[in-house]
Amino acid sequence: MPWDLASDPLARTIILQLRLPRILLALLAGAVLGAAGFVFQMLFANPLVEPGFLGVSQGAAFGAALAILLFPPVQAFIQMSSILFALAGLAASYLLARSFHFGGWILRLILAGIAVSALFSSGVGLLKYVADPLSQLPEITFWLLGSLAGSSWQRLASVLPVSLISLAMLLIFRWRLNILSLQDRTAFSLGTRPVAEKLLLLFAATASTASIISVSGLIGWAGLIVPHLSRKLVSSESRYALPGSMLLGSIYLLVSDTLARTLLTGEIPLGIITSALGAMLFIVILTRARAGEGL
Amino acid sequence: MKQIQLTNISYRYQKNLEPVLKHVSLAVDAGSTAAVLGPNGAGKSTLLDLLLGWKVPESGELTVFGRRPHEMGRKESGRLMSLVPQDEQMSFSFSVRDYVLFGRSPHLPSMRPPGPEDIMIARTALKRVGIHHLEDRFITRLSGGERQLVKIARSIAQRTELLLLDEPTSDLDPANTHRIITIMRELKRTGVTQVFTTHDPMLASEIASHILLLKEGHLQSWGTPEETLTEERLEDTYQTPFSVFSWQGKRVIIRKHQ
Repeated sequence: MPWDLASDPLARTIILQLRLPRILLALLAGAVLGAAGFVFQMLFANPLVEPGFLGVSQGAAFGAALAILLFPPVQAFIQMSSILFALAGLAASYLLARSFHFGGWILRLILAGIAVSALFSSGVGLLKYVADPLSQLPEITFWLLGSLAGSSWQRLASVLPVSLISLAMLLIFRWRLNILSLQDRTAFSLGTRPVAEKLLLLFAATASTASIISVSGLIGWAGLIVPHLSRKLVSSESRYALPGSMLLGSIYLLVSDTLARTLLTGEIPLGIITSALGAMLFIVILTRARAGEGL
Repeated sequence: MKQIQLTNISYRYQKNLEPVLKHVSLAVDAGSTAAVLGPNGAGKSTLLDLLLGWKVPESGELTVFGRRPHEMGRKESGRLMSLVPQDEQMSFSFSVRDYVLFGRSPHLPSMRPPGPEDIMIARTALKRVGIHHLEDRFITRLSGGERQLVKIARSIAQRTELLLLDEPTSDLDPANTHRIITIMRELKRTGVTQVFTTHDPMLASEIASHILLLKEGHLQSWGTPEETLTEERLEDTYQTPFSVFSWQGKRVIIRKHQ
């Protein structure tokens, strides 16, 4: 009975020390991944991108794997290293795209992102190959599949500052995202500094994503599918679509994590659930989309 | 003072490339309508980009409202001049009203969304171009002509004294072309200065008070339609023969068959 919980110390500990931080982390992670995915899609005027497309996820994975291999098993090292390499992934994609001399800006960025992601992912492959198969390899693999199983108040607190500052910034400038989704020259004529403002917002979206995946591991597809749902269900106008993405992202991850925890007797890695759900929703959205409707 | 003043302006994309504009000088009065004509690659769009401040001249002096465009504050610039781009990729299904509201951006602090007054201004702009009934439609569901009208409405909502239009009637059917001409004439009556690029000399002669002929970055001719749109000058600019004659008080310009 629910009222027994208050007097049952074990149940209380489970709820307060395990379940509650995990639920809050799922909500926060969902809000961040949803918001970051939305911001990426707006700023690249492309409904098919998310931070993962620009080397951010694979960078974070490489950073985490490297930390697992080189440093003592302390969570803080993994977090810092994955954030660092996530940002390095974005920077490398950006600089590489600038040195390409063909195609449009978006195409160049996506191509650069693919190349950088591939480099990092082969790096991850190498690290897995040399990792100690008994201790380090399982940890790397577990990280790559994503999970909120290790949630604690301490982990939640470690991602809170970057996540909240970034989310606040994105929310404050959310109407402007609409304008920055237009071609740079048009956005410029509407009184913005498109290049500088886009970089700032991309940085906020990337930093918060990196800080989340540094504790959760890779959580695929949430950042891609959630903004689509928000635009379909709420509006394309980012004043409403961004908070919508955050809310839907929170629900998406909470549901996915609950499924991950309860579907089988053992835990299923979260990334597997979010990817499977995401891919299915994506197929439904695309097959139902009509010509000229926009995504 | 002239509203737009170009003195010996040159521009090139990269150091080792041929300049796309070479020593162009001209001045545009406030309230006039100037058409920029010339073959593909003559530097027409580049000229608009320079006026906008999006590109910076390599040499020469360019002022708009007495100031160098690229040195203006962004919001200030957005309140003085607006752009109707040629083709705008429309990736997301914004409503027509939301889209026109983007024109209010330079009038608002960066963090503030548009308010009731801005919505009034957007509605007025939609009425002026005659598509207020499309207010709640998605821009992704509009025809090419309607999209062009929405872009012009956005610029009207921006309430600027100078309007730059990049090929405003390209890809439009005759009825929509006529609507655009009517709107541009209406804007001229209200004192808005307009600079537009076009491939249509007839359109230019219908609405422009001044015509600029560009060829390979050189100013071929600058003056009234009577002065510039002559058979010799057009043939020299486009390297193809033209017939220019008067019919029912209108200047008719057609390409001659060789």
